[in-house]
Amino acid sequence: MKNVLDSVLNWVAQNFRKDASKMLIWTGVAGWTLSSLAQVGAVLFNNKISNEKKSFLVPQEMADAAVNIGSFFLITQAAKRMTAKLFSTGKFAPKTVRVYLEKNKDLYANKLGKLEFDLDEVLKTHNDFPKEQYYACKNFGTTLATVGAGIVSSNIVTPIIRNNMASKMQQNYISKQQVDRPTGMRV
Amino acid sequence: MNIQPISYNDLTMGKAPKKPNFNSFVDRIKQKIVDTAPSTTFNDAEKTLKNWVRFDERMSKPAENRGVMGGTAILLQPAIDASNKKVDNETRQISICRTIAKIIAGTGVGMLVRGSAYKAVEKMTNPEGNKILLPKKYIDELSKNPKLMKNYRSALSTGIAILAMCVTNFALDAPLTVFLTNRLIEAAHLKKPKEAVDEKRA
Repeated sequence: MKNVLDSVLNWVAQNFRKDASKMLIWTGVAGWTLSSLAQVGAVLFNNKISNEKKSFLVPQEMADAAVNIGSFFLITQAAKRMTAKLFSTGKFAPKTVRVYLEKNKDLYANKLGKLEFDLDEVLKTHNDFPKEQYYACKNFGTTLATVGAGIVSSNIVTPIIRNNMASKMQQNYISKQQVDRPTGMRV
Repeated sequence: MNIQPISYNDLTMGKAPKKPNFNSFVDRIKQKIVDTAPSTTFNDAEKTLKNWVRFDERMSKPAENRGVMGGTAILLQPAIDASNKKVDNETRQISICRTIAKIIAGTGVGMLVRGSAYKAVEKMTNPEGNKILLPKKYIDELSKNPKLMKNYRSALSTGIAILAMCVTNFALDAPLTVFLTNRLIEAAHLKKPKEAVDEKRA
């Protein structure tokens, strides 16, 4: 049992000690899946909601989960990577780093803003590079972008898309109910 | 301040970064975005640096992160549901009630579980005290590097919170959502008779 625990702890440290956001993303997916299962159950077993309303709310919840997870991956990963790229190419920089880059214009002037230029590699070989300011600014910017993208994907994109999907599902359900009623009854 | 080099470019964990391939559509889009973005310089006074670090630490913590998501959700999602004209009025109202209930229940329980898990993990990952949840292979590295230690604690506590949520989602989230939804539905329907009376008087 102790060996199993040690293996798990080592695995967590190995994969996530340098990148907690990776774990937040994957555990976010697991969390939303569990949460959605619980919420679907909450609607299904709620006697105060009619079957007709359930026909909208249950698909809404399932669409919510599917779209939330999908859009979260796309939008937050894109925002996080793009923001990191803007910092590592020198397009965004704190003042101290900008001063350093201008002081060494002959080395960096025509590389700034190019995708293949990576300040993270530069600072490994240049001890005078202002690492502290660079990483403080880059970490802040990337975290802000990730949180902002998460808010946009979960609270704007997902509700709009899932409402459209769930509405269509409800309309299909209602149409099917009308078709299935016995002949002779007014609908 | 001990600001550690966590490279967000290093998603391949230690391997050399890939050279961009400009035959690739994705790399061309990335270059286009970098070209379009204005060159921006941020003021990095000592106080500003401290604020950046504080923000990064707070947002990386599971409970705080969940709180921010919940707070913004309650401002945005009900409004989006209210503007959905593709369903009838009653369905729309119930949908709004359920969305509000779900956000309150999910955020409350989520923050409680994540916050508790983080505090427990903090106590059990003390290099000078209780180190039962510290990985033997990385104890020295984590002890010397506070940022790596925070990341490890966030990751572990979030994993533990997920396991706890297998129970709390069904035991707490769902019943609380049902309870709040029904209360909100009742509150919404209670207005209708009064509105009818007010309309008659008018």
